[in-house]
Amino acid sequence: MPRSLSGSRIREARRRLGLTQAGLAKGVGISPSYLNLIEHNRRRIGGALLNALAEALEIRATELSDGGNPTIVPDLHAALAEHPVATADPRTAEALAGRFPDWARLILLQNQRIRDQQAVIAALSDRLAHDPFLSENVHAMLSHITAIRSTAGILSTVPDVPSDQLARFYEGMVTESERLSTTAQALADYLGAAAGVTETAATPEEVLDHYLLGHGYHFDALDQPANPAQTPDQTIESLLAEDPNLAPETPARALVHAHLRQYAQDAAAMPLDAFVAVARQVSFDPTVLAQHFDQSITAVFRRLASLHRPGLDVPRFGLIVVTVAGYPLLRQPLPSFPLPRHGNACALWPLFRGFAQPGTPMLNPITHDSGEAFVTLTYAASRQSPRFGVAPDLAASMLFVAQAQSPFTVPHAAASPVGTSCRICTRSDCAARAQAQLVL
Amino acid sequence: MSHRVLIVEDEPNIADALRFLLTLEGFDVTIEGDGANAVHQAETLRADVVILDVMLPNRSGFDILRDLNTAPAAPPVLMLTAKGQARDREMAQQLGATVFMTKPFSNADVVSAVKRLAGT
Repeated sequence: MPRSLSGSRIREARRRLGLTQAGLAKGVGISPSYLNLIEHNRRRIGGALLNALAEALEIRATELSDGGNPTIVPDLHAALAEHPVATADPRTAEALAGRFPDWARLILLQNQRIRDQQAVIAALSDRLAHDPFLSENVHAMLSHITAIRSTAGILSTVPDVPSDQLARFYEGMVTESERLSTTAQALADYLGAAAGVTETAATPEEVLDHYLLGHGYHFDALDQPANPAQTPDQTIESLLAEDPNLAPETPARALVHAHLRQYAQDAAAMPLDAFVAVARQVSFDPTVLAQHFDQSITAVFRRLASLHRPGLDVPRFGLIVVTVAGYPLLRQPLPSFPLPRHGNACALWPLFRGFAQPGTPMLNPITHDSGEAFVTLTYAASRQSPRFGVAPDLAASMLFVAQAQSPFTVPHAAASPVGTSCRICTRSDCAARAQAQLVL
Repeated sequence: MSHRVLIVEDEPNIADALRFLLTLEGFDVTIEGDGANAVHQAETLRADVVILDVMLPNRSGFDILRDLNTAPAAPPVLMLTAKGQARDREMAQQLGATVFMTKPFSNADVVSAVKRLAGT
């Protein structure tokens, strides 16, 4: 059985406050020598003495008890699992969390930063691979350069080009040079190089993507307001005011504002602590959560996707919500499951099968082109209340989680092979291929 | 009789330069700018060599290549693309492209490849 580490935590907390052993011992009515034994983990304590020490050290008793820091140890195990080359012994995680909680938190913080940066890299990679503007313009530039190079090569090596052909070549050179300049300028403008700006978001949707990524897809200020007197709308205004990219009256600000309003509504209807507690009891089943909180499955999907954050031991979910046309309304990729920005997603995603059965929750295992296995939950529903004579405006949502982290019981069905989108998918024999493999 | 070369390329200035170069070398050159007509043209002309771009209006060069190679006497294909990553090269080879070149190419390399494919 592992040795009690309450004493180590007491010593750390005492030193943080600058108290002496004698001072603390006197404050809780025990002898300094007894406190010394406790601090060296040679005496187990509990009950009234533990509470008294916690009060004197200005921390919660649960943080001193052996069940303290309940989320740090699993998070450390998760961090270790993410770095297969690390040689740390998982059995020592509890000792680390107990004796050096601040260092343990630093490890978790750094691990979260690595994850966030991986997400940024995945998003940038996604942009390079999927952005049709970039792809088409680079292709166009190379075509213009090819025409110019080939024609220039002829003019410099062939002495007797007939005059009518010569005139065509000159005209072609002029045309291709002009087109090359225009394309290059458009590309430079698009990338922000011409304006010298560093913000790479080109559309309001990209600004929203960057904003959500930057906040880790969760907003503590809306989940656990520091000032309960502040209304959610006031909190949202404060959040918007903090971001220099969200100037008033811009489409991007309106989009982010709408997202935060939705988030605030979800947070009010499904308060974080209560939601996490119930989710754990019901194995994160969205249908049960929807009934419990009297919310739609779509709203539960959003709430589940917002849970992942430092210090909270929950699976990390990704989420995508699309219109019938496949246009993404909300994208929350995972590092190993990037999501296209422009709607040209893999047609084999269970997401699209949702449109065939609106109102029916579906659970499907999949294997991504990257080789990683995921579990997906799909649900399609109308975005508006139904009305006679009005076709429903359907949106489908797909929540997904790495199979290794999945809390869901997967049916004994073979995992469907999927990709992100045809252009970057290596499944050359895929019957659903809609575009050739063309990767920048 | 001169060897027949079909250039499937939608950029007219590239196609024009290639035609000029190959005509100088004695080839009988036809240009087709629409991907949808490429297979029919190659069969009608009984092309000895096909120069095929990947990104074409109406039909991908990879799809055209797949169809060309279903014929009993499939012509050798020189694949041209502005996207020269390993995956494209791999796919072109899997589908039966004889030679793969990336844009911008050198005139000498193209002419030399076509001569080799035509057996001249």
